[in-house]
Amino acid sequence: MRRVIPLLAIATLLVAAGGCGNDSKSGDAGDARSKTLVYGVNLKSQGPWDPHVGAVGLDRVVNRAAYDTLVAYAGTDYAKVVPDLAKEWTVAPDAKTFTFTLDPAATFATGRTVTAEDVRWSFTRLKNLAGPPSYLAGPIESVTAPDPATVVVTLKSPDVSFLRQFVDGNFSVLDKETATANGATDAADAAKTDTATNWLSANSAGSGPYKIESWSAGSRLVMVKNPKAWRPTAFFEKIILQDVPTPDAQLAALKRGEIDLTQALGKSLLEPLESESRLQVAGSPGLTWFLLGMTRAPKTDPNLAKQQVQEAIHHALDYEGIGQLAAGVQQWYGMIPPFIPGGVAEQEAPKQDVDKAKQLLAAAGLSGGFDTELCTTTSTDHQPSALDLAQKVQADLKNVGIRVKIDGQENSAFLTKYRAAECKMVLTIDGPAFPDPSHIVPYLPDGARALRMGWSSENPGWDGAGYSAAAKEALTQTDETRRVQLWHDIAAGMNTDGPWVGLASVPYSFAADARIKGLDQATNQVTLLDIAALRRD
Amino acid sequence: MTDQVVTPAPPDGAAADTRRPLRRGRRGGRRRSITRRLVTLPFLLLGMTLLMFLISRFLPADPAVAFLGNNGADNQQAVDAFNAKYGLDRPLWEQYWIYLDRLLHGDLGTSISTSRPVADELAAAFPATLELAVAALLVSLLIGIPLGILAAARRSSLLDRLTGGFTLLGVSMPPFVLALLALQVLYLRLGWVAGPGRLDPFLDPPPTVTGVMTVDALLAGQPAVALDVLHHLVLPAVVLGIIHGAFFARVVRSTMVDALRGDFVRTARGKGLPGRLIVGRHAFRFALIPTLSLVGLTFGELFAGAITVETITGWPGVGRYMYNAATKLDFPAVMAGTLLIGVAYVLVNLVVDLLYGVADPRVEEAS
Repeated sequence: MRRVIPLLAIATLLVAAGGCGNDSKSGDAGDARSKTLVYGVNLKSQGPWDPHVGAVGLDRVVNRAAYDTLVAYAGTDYAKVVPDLAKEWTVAPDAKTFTFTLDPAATFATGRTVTAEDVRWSFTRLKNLAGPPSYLAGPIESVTAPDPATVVVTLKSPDVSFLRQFVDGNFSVLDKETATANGATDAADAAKTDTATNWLSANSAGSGPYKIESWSAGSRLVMVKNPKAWRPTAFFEKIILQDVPTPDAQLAALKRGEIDLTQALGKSLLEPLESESRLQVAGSPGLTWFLLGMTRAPKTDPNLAKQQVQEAIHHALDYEGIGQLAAGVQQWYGMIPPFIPGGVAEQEAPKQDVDKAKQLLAAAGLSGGFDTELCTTTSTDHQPSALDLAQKVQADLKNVGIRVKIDGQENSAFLTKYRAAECKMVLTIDGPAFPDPSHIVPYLPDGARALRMGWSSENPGWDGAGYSAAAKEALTQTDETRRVQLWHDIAAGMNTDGPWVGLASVPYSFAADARIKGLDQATNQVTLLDIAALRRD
Repeated sequence: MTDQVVTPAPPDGAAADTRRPLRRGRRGGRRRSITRRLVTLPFLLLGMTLLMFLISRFLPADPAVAFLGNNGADNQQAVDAFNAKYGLDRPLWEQYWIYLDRLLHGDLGTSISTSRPVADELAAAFPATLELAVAALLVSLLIGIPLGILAAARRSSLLDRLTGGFTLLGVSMPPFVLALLALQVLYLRLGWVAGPGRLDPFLDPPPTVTGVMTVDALLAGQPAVALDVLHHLVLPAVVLGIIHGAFFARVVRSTMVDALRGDFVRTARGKGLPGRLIVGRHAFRFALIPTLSLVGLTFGELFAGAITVETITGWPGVGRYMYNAATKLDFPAVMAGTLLIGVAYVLVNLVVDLLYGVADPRVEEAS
């Protein structure tokens, strides 16, 4: 008996600590529990919460809760832009000038009215901070505030779709007075002189339904209801984003009621949940997707740069198999996904035809196949991972004789190589800031992505000139039907022999306690989750 | 720095005879040894900074791309601003010089991923790691010492064989495997321990005084919060405690077996002292030196080696902070974290070296 005394002592201590912990939990929860929403999520790579600096997934959720934008989408109807801080707007015929009239009722959490100067200052700061999302403001030539209620944004070149850019949370409007008092500036050297990001991670200066109360990096973010919200829609008094690192732990915490909501659970965890009455699942294909790229530069890979070879690869891929790699993955039918206006429909989808692919390779003088290399990231932040898809592509191409060596690297190393245009083929995880068909511009000749694959106006290949002309027209087209059709035709055309293949969307899913209401309406591809739309029974 | 477990010679009659005449010389040697370590410490730290600096600069990845992302790095103005802000547009030697200059002025730099001062972030994370390290050390001692003593006292018994199996498993199992297993079984399946994190989401953290949350909660008169922190501490502390406890059990058993064969034990038995007294007082005192040495090593390793356990169990300490930073190529944070761990490791072992003299003055001879 004496031998086990020490072990018993340890066990007693541990159980005592555990038991007492549980008691304290129930004792302190009280009434505040029902008015508090705990959102369990991996906070590993999240923050800072400065809307002009953050550009990762969860930033969209926090931005939407604490800030407002000029315009918004109506739920998941991405064809329609609706008022937010701006009650009305016009787009000039030159497709370069956007004029917004602010809603006079809009106020910040301080009670101060939102003015055109706040908007001008915010957009200028976004650009001059030179942070991760600053590229979004790159096309802006100027922002002016001719009167307190009017904002005029002028672009460097025509782009009617830019109106939708103002939906993005990075274009959130900050209270200039509060932000500047805490170190923010819109000066040209803001990248060096602005010191507000730290403050804006533990506080906020917006007009949204919530305010940031505290932030413990990688651990916990607390938001509280904005008592002076100009649109008092929030139900919960407090929102806690709590770090729960793994999907297994998130699910266990959800089942035990330790958290109310979680996200991004994988296939094996999500499927059994659908039959559980105490829990609910909602979500949609996200604005993040997998793309396959092929070089157009003969010096990088003379075989891959041939038209017949790129057409053969389009025929060699097993698109349906790719769509079945994981639950919630939505197969693409072209470079514009189906849920975006102008998206390529299922009936237009490319079909796998191995014989045709082999014929095309033979026509290219490569009946014995050839060796090539595919760069990708080894990141496992998404399910399926890019490596999963790369292996599927490798297997499909092997069937037609193309021997692919996968060069998987840590994400930053992969991006460095990809951006240096050193990849023959690439399988990348990508995505735009807002759902509009114009997102394919970077993939067309001279676009940032296209240049990495050697596709430019100097090397347009057999199809580049046509796509460039169509894109130029689409960017200035104010007739929405015509605009959308132009983008659609480009995407559908690239299905034949373009250097890009849209493979699938990464699913974005939420699981929540069944007593949380409004989850279906609160999820969308832009802000991911509108917390203010959630209630508890 | 202590780099191996010191096992003293058995305290037989011969050793006792040589103790007095050599004492003065040994003390001087001990002092010189410690002085030498203190003098070499800055050079050691300088070497660490140089190594970390070179590793961070020769990675096959661009920190600007890691920070700005695939889209953001298309903005050349942003890339230039980033490189200027972190001095990456300057020659390598100049970058290192600036880094050292700032370091000497107490500036650990600004985190690339959070835009916050690294010193502030480490100051917030370090007490959590300290809290976990102390708890894990206690658990490992509570497991390892009694097991080692009992196994040595009952050699070849079932308990001895079970202890052997436990120590073999403990020393050979990677911490992340045990952490994942413990998370699956103790938290996910059985629900015996609290989940990831340091505090229940519904409890407000106590006002920060020391940063060690149990202490702060007690100082603030919030025992319920302190207990909840303890509850959350159980999982990572037990995982780390089992792994290091296995080492303790193995070392204590081995040293105790030697001690129980010693002349002084035979003499004690001959004098009719009770077995419990012989084992617990005479033989265990002999095992104390290697145990103390191992405590120093373990404490240092708990700072450096808790990265995977903190990451898996969501404990917001230095290990998890460094893991997050490394995955985002946040080299100012990684370099500062490494330096902190290095300093902690060196200082802990220095303290342990000083304690040798207190535990057994004869050990001074070994230095």
